[in-house]
Amino acid sequence: MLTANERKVLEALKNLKRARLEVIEDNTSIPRSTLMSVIESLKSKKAIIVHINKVEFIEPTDEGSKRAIEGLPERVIVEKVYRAGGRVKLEKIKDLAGLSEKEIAIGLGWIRRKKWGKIVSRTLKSRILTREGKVKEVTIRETELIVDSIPSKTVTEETLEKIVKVGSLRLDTLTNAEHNAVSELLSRNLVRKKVYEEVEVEITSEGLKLLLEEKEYITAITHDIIKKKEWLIKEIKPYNIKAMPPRLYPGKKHFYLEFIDMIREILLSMGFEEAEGPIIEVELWNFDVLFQPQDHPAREIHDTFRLKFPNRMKVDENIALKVKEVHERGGKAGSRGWRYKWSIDVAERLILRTQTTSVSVRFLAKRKEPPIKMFTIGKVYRPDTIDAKHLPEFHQLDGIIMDKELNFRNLLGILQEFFRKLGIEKVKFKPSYFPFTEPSVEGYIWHPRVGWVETFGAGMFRPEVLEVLDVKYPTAAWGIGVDRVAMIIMGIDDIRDLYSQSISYLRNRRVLWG
Amino acid sequence: MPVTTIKKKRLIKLLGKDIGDEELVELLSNIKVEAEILDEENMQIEVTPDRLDLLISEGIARELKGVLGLEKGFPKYKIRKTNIKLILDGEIKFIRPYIAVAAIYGYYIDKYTLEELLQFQEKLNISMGRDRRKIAIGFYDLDKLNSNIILYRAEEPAKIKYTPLGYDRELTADEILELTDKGRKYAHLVRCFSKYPHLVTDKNQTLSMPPILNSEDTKVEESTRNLFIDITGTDKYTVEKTLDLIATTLAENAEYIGLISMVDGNEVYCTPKLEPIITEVGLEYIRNNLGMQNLTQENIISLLESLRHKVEIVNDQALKVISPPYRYDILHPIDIVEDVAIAIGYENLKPEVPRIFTIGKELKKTKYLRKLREIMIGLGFQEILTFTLSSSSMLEGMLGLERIKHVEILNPISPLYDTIRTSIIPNIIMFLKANQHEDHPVKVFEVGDTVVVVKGKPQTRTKLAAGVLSYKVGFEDIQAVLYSLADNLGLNMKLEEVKTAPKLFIKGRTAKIIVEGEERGIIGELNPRFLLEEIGIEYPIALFEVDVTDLWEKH
Repeated sequence: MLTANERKVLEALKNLKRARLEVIEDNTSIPRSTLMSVIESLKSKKAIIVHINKVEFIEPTDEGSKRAIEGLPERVIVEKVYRAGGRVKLEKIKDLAGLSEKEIAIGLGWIRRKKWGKIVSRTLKSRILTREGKVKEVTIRETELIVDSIPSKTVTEETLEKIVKVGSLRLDTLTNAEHNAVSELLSRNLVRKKVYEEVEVEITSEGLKLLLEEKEYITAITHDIIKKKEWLIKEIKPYNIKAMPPRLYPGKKHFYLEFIDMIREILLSMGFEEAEGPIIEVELWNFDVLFQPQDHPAREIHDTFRLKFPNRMKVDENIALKVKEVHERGGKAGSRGWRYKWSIDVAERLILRTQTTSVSVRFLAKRKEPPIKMFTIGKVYRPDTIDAKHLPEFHQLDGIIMDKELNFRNLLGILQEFFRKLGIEKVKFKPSYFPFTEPSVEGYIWHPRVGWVETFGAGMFRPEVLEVLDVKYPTAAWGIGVDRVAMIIMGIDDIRDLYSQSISYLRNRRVLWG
Repeated sequence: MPVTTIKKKRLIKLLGKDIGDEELVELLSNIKVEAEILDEENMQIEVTPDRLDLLISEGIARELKGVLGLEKGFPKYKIRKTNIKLILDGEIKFIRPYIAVAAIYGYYIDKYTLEELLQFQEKLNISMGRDRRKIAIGFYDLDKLNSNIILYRAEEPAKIKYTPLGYDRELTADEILELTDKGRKYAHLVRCFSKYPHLVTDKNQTLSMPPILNSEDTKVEESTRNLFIDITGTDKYTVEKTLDLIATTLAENAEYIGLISMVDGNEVYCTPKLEPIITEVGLEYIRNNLGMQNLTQENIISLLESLRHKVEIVNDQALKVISPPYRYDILHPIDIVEDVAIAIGYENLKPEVPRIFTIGKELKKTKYLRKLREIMIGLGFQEILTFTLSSSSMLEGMLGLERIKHVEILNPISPLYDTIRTSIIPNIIMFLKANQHEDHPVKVFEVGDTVVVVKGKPQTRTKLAAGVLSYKVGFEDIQAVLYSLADNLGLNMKLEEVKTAPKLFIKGRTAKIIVEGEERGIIGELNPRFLLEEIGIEYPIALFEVDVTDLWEKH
């Protein structure tokens, strides 16, 4: 008793005898996910034998991909040294080549092995003046790397480039020379082996027999069979109801964006209005309006991505003038100000926004009538290197409330309420500092899995900020690291998983946080 | 945030009261100090940039004494005039114009104190001093100076010659900049001048070459009893205020602060200035900002005194708050409000949800994109989320550069992230590449922001891209998806031939997407040569991308 798909597969195999899964897929037009269960079922009927072959592939590691672009350390070193005149002291190589200590050590090792250069030590005599005023002769040991020419590209380098370009190479398709190159690359951790399974299917004599017998049953019920009442003459074949069906993958929302949708719903239910703003921002809105002095360390290139092209954009002169006043002398807000010379050149620089508070202040510059409850969720950027805790881009949620009689305890109340709706019962507030809020607070939330975790900063906008925006009433503001909150609630320990590149990770996540 | 290490025993001794580790960490967290016990001896502390006086045990002890009620109100310190004189040379005005100096007498230095003191100096140099550019601090053993007259002058590099800190022989100014670690690190601050700042006695004993390196001769050691302090810099206010901060903080553990006469041309004055910070604040202002109408004048005065302010009553509505000189973070009465809140303790402030009636409203964009995402999901596509940071070489390689300009980041963390994507197509392709060996078909989409530069201005464009990778997939498969999407959204859409297909696509199997008469995207089957040789994908892909910016305004 065969299903229509089983019949298709066996018919194809009748001619092919033995074939790879892809070939069967091509011959039968049965999609892969369905095909797997058909194969399983045929196997249980002993109609086919399944052969599983392991095929080895070579893939680049992250370091390998980087090195394919920038060059292996030994190449970087010899090229730089050659260009710098062919003779450089060892301790100068680090600055010259722009590599880490470890990479320099690796590079020098390979230069020695590949005989790309000579490392020569010599002793020099030098005279110095001692503390007592005597002239003393000392010996200084100096070690240099000498490079006579730039070596031509090696098989190792060519192979690495090829692997990175193509993404993965079958190990059994490599030439002998490439094999040696791959051994070197493996030992240097620039590539790794990955094993994939290749499935081959072979028809048995039992299978061929089944194909011949199958005539008398109705397998699939069709329009014709129903209309012509064939079911009166023939028996309808029963199914093996315990056999696994084909695996289906529904279209799904991304789990993290679904979490963000939920946060949005909570804020809407609390009466907040959504806003948005540009991710490429002038420093004016990201920093200056927020009373962040222009020499504040957060504005330096270690903490903010600046743009080279385009590098600046004109700003609203009215706002700029007020910002200048407030920074330099405190403006009319009754403040002492920062007391320095404010520059519009700095305020006009373009950056990738480092916080979504820029959206909040842009909103207040346009809307000043109380009451206001606003929120925004968006990407922000910081020059952090990627690891389990840091990404150069992540999501921030900012919110503001403005009303005639708003106070600091109202801010704490709103934050507590927001987290309660997210299922977080315990929130802790500690004093903190931000240039644009006073009183300021940093907040921790408690989760049984991880304990107390700092997740937000908040405060009442300073009078200096409100003056620039021409806002007359107290305004509470907060910023929450959404990625971190999501990780706590969804039980994710590596921030990179929120932006996972694996379809099976996304397919296998349960729809509710699992 | 500035981080330093302090000695627990020193802090307890200065405080005069023994406190357990756990209680200490909790107490500190309430005055903006995040503490972590490292071992028996050491405690790591992180302070907020407004309270750098808390970077040393003296400052923390002073604050805690108030919080614990051991000593309240304005901190006491003795001040005496000294016969030390500092003369400013006119030319220095063009190089590193400002200096303020002080003496601290009876500051007994042992091993632990020395460690903390040097850290205090270094952390202030980095944070307040913006790594010595704005200000730089020097500490010297006052008793090692060979004269009471000190000159701050601009000197030709060749004429500066002294034994720098940690060396055993004299070096010239230029040798110091080349041979010493500090010299190399900070040379850029003086190199651009023909003369360098020089702090030297009238008997030619060098104290330092600010802001680079002190002299070995005047070094602070464990035996030091009296300190001489100098701060030089480019910002007068910061120079003077930081000196006030250091002098009043060290004075907690010293006999007295010595005032020094400064001679600047015809002008003669003394430093440190030790100016208190005076703020007038209304009681209602405090009550309203904290939402605590029942705070009495008496309560408020006592709370402020516990954070070491002196408070005078102006009338029954207002107070005059006189804050110690190290509290120049106070710029406005609102800063006094925060101190009241801190003194009350944030854990004692009852959170209260405000009763403000407003109606929640999402962006039209959010609503539109949600509908769009729902249709894509209904069509069986998995939503993905990828970085907006992208690589310009990848964008150029995949999409070409003819028409679309991307932004360039000045300080990328890697060439892989040196721009913001102009299109989501590369993200879709790279995602499909990473998953080509997974169960087929792989059907994915992403909706998100991209940035293109138009006439020199960055412009955010919201795009939808969707792609299918499978053992067998073609133009028609993805075309059906696009048409279904357009129908459901009620968009007037058609496809038009492209004259020259981008190399990413197969000629004759790609088309421009026209929405409401406007070109808004591209659809097609990817070119096998490009797939295999340039990207490394062994299966066919069909995809489309459509710019949906502002379509929500049309509904």
